[in-house]
Amino acid sequence: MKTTLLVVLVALPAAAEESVLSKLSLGLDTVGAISLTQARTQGGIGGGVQAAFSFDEHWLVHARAAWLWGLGSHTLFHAGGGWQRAGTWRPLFRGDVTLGLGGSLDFSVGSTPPTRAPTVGLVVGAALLRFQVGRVIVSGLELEAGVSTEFVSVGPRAGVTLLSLSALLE
Amino acid sequence: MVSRLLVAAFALSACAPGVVDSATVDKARALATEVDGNRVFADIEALAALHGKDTRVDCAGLNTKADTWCNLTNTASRTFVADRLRSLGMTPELDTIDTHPATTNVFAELRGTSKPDEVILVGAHFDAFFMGADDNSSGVSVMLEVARLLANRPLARTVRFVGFDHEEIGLVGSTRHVKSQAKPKASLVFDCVGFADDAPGSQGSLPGFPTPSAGNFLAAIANDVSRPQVEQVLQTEGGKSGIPVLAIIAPGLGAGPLSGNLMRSDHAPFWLAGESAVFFTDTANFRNKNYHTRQDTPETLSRPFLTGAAKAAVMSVVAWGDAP
Repeated sequence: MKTTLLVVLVALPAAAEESVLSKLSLGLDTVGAISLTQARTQGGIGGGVQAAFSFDEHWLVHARAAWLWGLGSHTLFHAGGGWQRAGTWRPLFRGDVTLGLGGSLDFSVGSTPPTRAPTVGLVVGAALLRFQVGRVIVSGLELEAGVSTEFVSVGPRAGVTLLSLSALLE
Repeated sequence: MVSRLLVAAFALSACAPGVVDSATVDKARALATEVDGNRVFADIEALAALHGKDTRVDCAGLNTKADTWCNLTNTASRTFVADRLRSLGMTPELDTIDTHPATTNVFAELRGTSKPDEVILVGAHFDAFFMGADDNSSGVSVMLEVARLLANRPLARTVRFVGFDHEEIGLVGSTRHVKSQAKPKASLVFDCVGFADDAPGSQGSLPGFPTPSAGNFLAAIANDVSRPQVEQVLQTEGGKSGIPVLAIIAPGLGAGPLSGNLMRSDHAPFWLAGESAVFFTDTANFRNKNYHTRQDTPETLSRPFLTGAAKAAVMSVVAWGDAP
């Protein structure tokens, strides 16, 4: 079943040809993310916007901003780049720097008071369920993991893009 | 647009934390050395004894677990608080509201010397299940120790001591106080400040709360509004209380779904009103298996921890009350 699906997807060249001509895409995401360190817990679920610029059929840079609710509300920025497969099935592998600003549960660590610094992170992500049909790119269950810090302690961070919908511009 | 947002966000996050001048810090720490742990513990024993023999609150219609709710008392402990505040030269007032059962707060003020219109509130609930040693005779006794130490040494700002009634029924007294009294500049609320356990694994927690394994720290809980006040607490305390102090800051007003457990006492009505309040606690049932049981008795409490909590309280109130 899996092999059949891959064959069908790879055999659809039209969308891939079009994507080479389209450099810029804009889209919307539904996102969940969590960052856990000794000094801060920050996370939530929400939505955001994204923009990507393709250098060729494989390599791209992108930026995202998402607004998440759960522990108060906070804004999560991503900026990074990645590699995507050519064709209708367009899995993307990326690496990003993240910046979290706003609501969080903050803790003192030893004699260090709760910090007011933003949360900075490094993540790698994979969008395996990502497809391009015409000028539309749809991606589901995109996963990412990495580390984050608020300059007091370091801990894991993880995220999931439940659904992403973007359009290639002319 | 994004760059503007980033600049604004960095500017906000770089705001200077609450800072207390060194003279006030020195004064606060000096006064904290006068905390009498034996006196605090004696007050807990007296209050627990009063709860043990006091008339139970009428639990008819409360429609909840009878063994606990029909062992709630508040009358003798309220009288104890009022009498003590009176003996310290203050004039306690009673504020009664017509609830079922009736709710009566008691409060008194030490007038400030140079900024009397600015009020620092120090409060604890005096109603308790069973003997209520940790919950909350410990908090009431710490409040009374702060009152004793400040009674003849008024601060620049007015200090209002409040015994809240019927916290256990649903923060009834504190909600009443927030709605009926002038807004304080800062508030310090105690609930369960006497139980500690050094054993690894003795501290319970929740996902997202990286608390230490040993239940021997005092939690100083704030929200974004009271963040400057808890920063001042940490700066002034500076390890001088003799017990670990863990600050926890809830986002926003603190009312989010994942931070709701931080709103389980009389500071919550202040938070919801957008007012500054810091909550001192031993984390109650996340550490103390005697919480809301007949076993919540004085001999289960830690005198050193209680003394440390009282010292941290004294330092906090002096810092807020005297800092320029």
